[in-house]
Amino acid sequence: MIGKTLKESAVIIASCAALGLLLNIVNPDGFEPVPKKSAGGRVVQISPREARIKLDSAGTVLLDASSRGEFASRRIRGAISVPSRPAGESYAAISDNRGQINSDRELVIYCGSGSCGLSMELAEKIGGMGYSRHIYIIKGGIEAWTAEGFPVETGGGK
Amino acid sequence: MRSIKAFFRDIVYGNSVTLAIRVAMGLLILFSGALKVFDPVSFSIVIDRYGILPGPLVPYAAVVLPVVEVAVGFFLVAGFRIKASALISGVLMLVFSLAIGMNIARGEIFDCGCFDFGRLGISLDEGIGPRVLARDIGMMLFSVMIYRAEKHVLSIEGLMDRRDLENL
Repeated sequence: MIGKTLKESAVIIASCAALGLLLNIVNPDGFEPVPKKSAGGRVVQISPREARIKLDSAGTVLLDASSRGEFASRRIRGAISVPSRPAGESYAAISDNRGQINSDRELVIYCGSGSCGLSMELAEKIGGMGYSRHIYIIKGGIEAWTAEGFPVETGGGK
Repeated sequence: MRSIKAFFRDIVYGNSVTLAIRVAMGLLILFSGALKVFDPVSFSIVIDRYGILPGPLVPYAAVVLPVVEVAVGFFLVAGFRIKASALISGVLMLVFSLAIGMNIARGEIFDCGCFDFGRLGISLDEGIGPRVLARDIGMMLFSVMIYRAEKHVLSIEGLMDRRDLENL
């Protein structure tokens, strides 16, 4: 009897999982957990100088992968806050800025202080959600950017 | 004294009170899932706050869990696949209770995101705490009761059983 119930439970859960993933695909506000066919996009590390050239060309979307607090205290002008952690907040921010991220402009990500693993994490999340072009990461993040003498904004960010 | 005992025995066996509990639980779970099913991103933030799932699994849980809730709620209300639905709802309530208990122990206070009444404009304190934990444990016990019940009045399963008996 318990075996039959377990089997029925497994069928219900499996069916719901399939239906949930299907609904998510057709839901415009859903995740994209199954990456679309990639056109060969990859994560490319660039120097602050190369990033500056890209940003000056105005064909770039700049994402700040650090926490909201770090972003509020210091950021590169024009950057959008898309914290890499926690995951839920990160996916929500990606979803909120999907229009900009998926626009024709190039995507450049930077992080705050430290080893800058957050940039890579965010790039992987965006790549995993179907973004198929190259994603550029500023090597050394905002620390390297300021070390080059490039300007940053402080305070008042959201 | 004996009548109270008999009253509870009847509930455990399955009577109109069992039906009321099954339908009320089903509606509550159905409602809870339906509110989240088309907004997985917001639900993922709630799941993430509990800090019990690794990051990459959070979106999948946010996508699948509401559909499971809708299906289980619907089955409980309709009285179809009752044992399986009660088993799943019991396990869900156990997991929710553990997650809430862990966060109470950590001293974390946040909205549990259980039923999301706020979306309907109903202001209700859904903060992590003993009250929410007791409610989930209560729902887990009701799930066990529904699982163990032998008779389900006003249910598709009951109807099918009766038809099978008539065709014998």
